Amino acid sequence: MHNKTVNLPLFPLSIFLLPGGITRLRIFEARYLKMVSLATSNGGFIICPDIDNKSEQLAIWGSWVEIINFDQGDDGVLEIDVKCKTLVQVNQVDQNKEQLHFATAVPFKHWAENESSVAIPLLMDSLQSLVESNGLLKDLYDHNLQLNPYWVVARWIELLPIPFDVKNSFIYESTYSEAEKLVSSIIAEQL
Amino acid sequence: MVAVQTKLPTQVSHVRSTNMTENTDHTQLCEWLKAVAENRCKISFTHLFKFFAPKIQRIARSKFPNEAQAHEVVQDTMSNVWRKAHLFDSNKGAATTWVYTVMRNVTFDLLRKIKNNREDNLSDDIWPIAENAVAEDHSYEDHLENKQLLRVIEALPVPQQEVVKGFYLMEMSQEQLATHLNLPLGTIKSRLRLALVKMKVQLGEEHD
Repeated sequence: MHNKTVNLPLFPLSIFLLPGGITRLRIFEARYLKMVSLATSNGGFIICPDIDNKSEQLAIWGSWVEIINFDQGDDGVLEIDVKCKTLVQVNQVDQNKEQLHFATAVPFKHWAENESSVAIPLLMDSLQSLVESNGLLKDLYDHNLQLNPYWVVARWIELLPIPFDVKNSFIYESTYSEAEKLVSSIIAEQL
Repeated sequence: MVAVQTKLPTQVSHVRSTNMTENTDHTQLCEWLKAVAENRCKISFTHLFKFFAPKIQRIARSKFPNEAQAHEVVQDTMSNVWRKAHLFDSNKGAATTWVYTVMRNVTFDLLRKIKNNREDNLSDDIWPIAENAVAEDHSYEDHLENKQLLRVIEALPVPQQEVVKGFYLMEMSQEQLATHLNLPLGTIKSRLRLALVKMKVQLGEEHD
């Protein structure tokens, strides 16, 4: 899957989503409803923050997501649950007639895709109780919580109230131990 | 085909399924679809019907002026699922996504039919919703990407902010984190600050 160029629709949203992460999106704009219909047949789409500044930047990354569920909100708006399968580096962005952006992108491996059986019980238990107490998170993750420490730390990085550019620094392969330290120092530090 | 269609229950539950994800067993759905495709298994189809019909009904109900048409979407979608189950490929995506696509096509067909009958009834776009309402100022153009919208959220009272931000950004607020960890907000704030300072030092050292 990695290193193979793909061309997929782009959904501009400042959301931090690592491989394995699930989020719910509300889709109400016509062009993005079209995108959803394209995504169902073409293997997903890319969520990418900061599309406005894209042309000047070279190293832009996005989350390649697949639609895993759909529903309709109380207000009638289409809600889709998407799960990130991998991160991608966005190399080029084009816009079609319907103002929908398409990205030419190359998937790259992220530490959130790693697996290990060495559990981190403090962070895992805390995440589990958070998921159980939050309606939306429960909807999205219930029965799918993993013990894999990479998975647990990735979910914490997504959820913690830390600045976006700090989160951004955790997209590189070598940053797992920093991420784990950061999450531990916030969640599990004994005072 | 017609026989199958008439056998479908017409009374569809209106109970709102709020936790769709919670009970969705994707493997099970795939198995049912496979059983329908390969063995024309009516029991599996009944399970699929029970799972999907209320959801399709609810979505369709908001796209059409009357109940009967929403029922038609349910019936046509599910009969297409029965007929076309062999086209579903679990390697290409979730069963829910596939059924959703079938439903979408049925909805388009029905809307086209209605449009031909009554030109003024509905636009051919099945999702005419927000587009017209917001077209003038493009204030929703890029969802939260839009800085104006973010500013509006910032201006909301804190509880509302959380609803909005929590929903879109999935990120906890400092208050939520404090509640979750059962610690005073001040402690959380300083802990976050300290953690970030520490991290910057570490990353800085590494990059030198």
